[in-house]
Amino acid sequence: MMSGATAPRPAGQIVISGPDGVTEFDTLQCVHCGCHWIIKPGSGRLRGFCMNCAGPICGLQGCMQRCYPFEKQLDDAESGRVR
Amino acid sequence: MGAYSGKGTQATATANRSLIFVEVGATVRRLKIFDVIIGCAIAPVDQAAEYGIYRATGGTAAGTAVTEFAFDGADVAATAAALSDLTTEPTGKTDAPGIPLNSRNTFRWVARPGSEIVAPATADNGVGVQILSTSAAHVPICTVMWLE
Repeated sequence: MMSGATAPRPAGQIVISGPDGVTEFDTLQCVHCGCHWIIKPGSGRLRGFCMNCAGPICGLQGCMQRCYPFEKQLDDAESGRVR
Repeated sequence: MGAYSGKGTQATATANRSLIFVEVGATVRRLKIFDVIIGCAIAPVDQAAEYGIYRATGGTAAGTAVTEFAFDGADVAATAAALSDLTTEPTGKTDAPGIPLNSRNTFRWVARPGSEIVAPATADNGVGVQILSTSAAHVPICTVMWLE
């Protein structure tokens, strides 16, 4: 079994099982858009960390440029104040 | 907060067709997707497909109604509505990164508590799983579990 345990506090885990065995990956979650991604050390993808939310950022332009916490986005969507 | 699951498939396995879409019902409550399993419902062969988990805001989806399963038999029925084998896709889709998968493999993603994929408590918003691309027709199957 190949294990991709790469984070001390992962936000999720992916398990892919098939004829070639079982592979596991840890995922992190963006504090701004809520998406998950597989952690690939050395991938070259630019990620970030929001000091305001104290959590990782996925690297998408909209998430990197301003702090708009996901919980705030949900509240805004529910009250009809989508920015 | 109750936990529920629903299973969906897609008979017309082509790009941008959803296997399952779970949407906020008339009684609006946030949906928190914590488990997604994708596999093949028929004898698998070597072929590539890419799947995507998305959020949607529109309420135009149409498909086969899914009977949700409550993890706790004492819970009330789910307020969310789940559709399988969608013939009309919801609008306002926002895709998460794709999931490339050989049809011989089974994919499972599980969220840590507090890190679920969340749909806001607004009517017709929801989360779904769709085919982004496929090399040949096949019959994928998907199980989604959620909290509400």
